[in-house]
Amino acid sequence: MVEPSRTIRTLLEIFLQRDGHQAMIFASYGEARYALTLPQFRTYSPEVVFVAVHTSQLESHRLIEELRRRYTHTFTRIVAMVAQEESEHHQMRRLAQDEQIILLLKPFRIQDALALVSAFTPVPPGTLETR
Amino acid sequence: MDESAGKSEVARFRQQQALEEEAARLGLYGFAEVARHERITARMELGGRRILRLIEEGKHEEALALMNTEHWDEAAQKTKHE
Repeated sequence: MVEPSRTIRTLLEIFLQRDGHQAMIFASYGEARYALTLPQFRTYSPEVVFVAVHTSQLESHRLIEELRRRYTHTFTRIVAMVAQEESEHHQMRRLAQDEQIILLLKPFRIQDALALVSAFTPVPPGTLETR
Repeated sequence: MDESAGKSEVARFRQQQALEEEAARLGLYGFAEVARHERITARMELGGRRILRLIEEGKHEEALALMNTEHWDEAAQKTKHE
């Protein structure tokens, strides 16, 4: 997850963990881009990457571009968290047309965010019956 | 390279990145667009902080209920439905 807002970052982290998911958290786009260069991230493909995207933040678009390139041939889905007020912006419309990217409008219902993670996270063998 | 030198290198890189991000934001979009973005974020932050407070107070169900409202804001939700 890449979210500069500490409040939103913390909330998403709390609810993801409560739902049994593990999350790697980055507070800045630069930090996330740096992490992508590290050896342990070169072969790692997370199920879902949440990225806060803003029209005025060039770095958020740069990161989305890098993630798209990195995870083109994987099952990784990129969730672009976009403010409702910015969702009609042409940059956001372009993102919405990308099959690899899912737009999640902020402020989002937490159940919608968790549903996205569940939809793209494989259920471990044997857990289906117990749910 | 010793560990502390490596860490300070990472810290320098992060600081440099943060400065570049800010410069790019201001340079490309100007203060008006950035101010609009700050306003949007601030409004969301307000609702989010209220939810975090509820979690700290152990009121998880209330927090969850609020986070499942459209604007993380019970009052706004009520007004909308009235």
